[in-house]
Amino acid sequence: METVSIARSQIDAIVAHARAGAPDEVCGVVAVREGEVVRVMPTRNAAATPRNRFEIDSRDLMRVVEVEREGHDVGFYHSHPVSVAYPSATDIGFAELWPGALQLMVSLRQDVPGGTGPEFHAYRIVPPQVNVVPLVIDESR
Amino acid sequence: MSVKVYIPTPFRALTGGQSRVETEAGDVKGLLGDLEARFPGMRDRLRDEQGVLHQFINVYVNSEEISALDGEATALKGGDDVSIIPAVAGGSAFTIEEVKRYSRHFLLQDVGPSGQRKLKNARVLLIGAGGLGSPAGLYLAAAGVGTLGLIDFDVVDHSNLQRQVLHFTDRVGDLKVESAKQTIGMLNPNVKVEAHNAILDSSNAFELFREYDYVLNGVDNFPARYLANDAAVLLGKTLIDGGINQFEGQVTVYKPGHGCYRCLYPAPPPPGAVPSCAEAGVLGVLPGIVGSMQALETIKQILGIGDPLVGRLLLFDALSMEFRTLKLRRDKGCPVCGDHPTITELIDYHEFCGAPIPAELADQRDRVAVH
Repeated sequence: METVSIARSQIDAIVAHARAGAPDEVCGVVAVREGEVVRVMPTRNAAATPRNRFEIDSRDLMRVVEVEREGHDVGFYHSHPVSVAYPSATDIGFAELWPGALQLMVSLRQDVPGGTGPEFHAYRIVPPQVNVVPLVIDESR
Repeated sequence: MSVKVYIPTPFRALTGGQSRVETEAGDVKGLLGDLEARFPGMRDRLRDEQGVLHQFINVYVNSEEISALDGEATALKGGDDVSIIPAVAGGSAFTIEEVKRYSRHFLLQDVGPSGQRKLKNARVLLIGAGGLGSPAGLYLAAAGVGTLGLIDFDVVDHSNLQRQVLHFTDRVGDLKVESAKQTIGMLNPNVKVEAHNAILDSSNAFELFREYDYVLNGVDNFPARYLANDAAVLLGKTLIDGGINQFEGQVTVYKPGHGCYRCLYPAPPPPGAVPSCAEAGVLGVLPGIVGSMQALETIKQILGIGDPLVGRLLLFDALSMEFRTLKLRRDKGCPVCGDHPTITELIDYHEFCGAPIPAELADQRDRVAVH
């Protein structure tokens, strides 16, 4: 079964981006090399209603080409400020445009006093199928 | 001199796995045309049926979006780099404001986020923004029904304010649908209100009913009641029906195949035999109770929970504070929903009820028709 390795510092960066952007959703591009997240790039959210929508700003989309030029696989991340870290119907719908790409998701719904903290999960979505990708967290990086 | 095109991962199944292809085109339009010709299936990925580039497809020339250049007319020269990148988008079902607003629904196992999504996606038509439509509209909006259609031709009158809680004193003289839209917007701005300032009649009932999932009946006269019933039966729409008179009310849900108003009352009462609220009066709170029960039954229909009031007529006596339930059965001989229906299209309901169109209604109808 496929797993993806990610550094603790990369998770921290994505969580920090999500917290800074809340209550809006935030998004970004990640580069993946042989099952390992090697780069995390925050992008702007151009959605008209960012409270519960994201769309990577087209001005930042050339990141995708950069990542692939470097010979890496392209993946994405986005936050759900108040709902679970699981693809919504909207997420699954839009995954039609990037089927099978690595999708990292962070939820802040438990990131409150007395809560269990941010939730972080990875998926590959081939609509309508959502496949969970177990993450191996490298605490040393 | 050729131009290099970056093919995004999702499109590589069409290009035999190639991430870069070269073309000789002189502009973006020509380049896209070349790709469409060379790679079957590419056209559908790039353009809609009218041939317009999909909104979710971004094209860049040397890292510059073509929308900031000359669009598809953007000229290309040898050595240019063109990239085609599909949008990356998504979202969650609810905003933080919605999660807070509907938190008591989210706690219920039978509603939860998935039920709330059903409510958000639902479209309910309220016939009448009066005694029944007021509480029903308020509660459906508060509960998060995404789209409410309202049809009423009347204006707010002082005599409405004793029970029609969508309207306020300073709205007297305003169109009821506009007043209702304003109140609902104040209560829950997430609800889309479609205001139809019109008289429901045989010419517009089908067109209107077709736009909605459920119809909540808040009419105050027999012609409109038969019209709403027949239109709902003929279109296969579920009608959440309610009626009030002085101190008594009734509620039921007419679901296609389970009987209709005509199974119960095949013919209208003689004109004048049953006085209207305007003639006989009605206790102020009564429509609040009946309309609220209609809203409740509508929500149960949308969520698919509980035992709906289908095949049952609930009678409420406000003075004795008693509820009674009568069983309703589909009448095989019903002229509209029976085995051999004789009514297969909408008729003239004023004629059917033996009631001439009231002068004010005829006047309103002319006025509305002009718009």
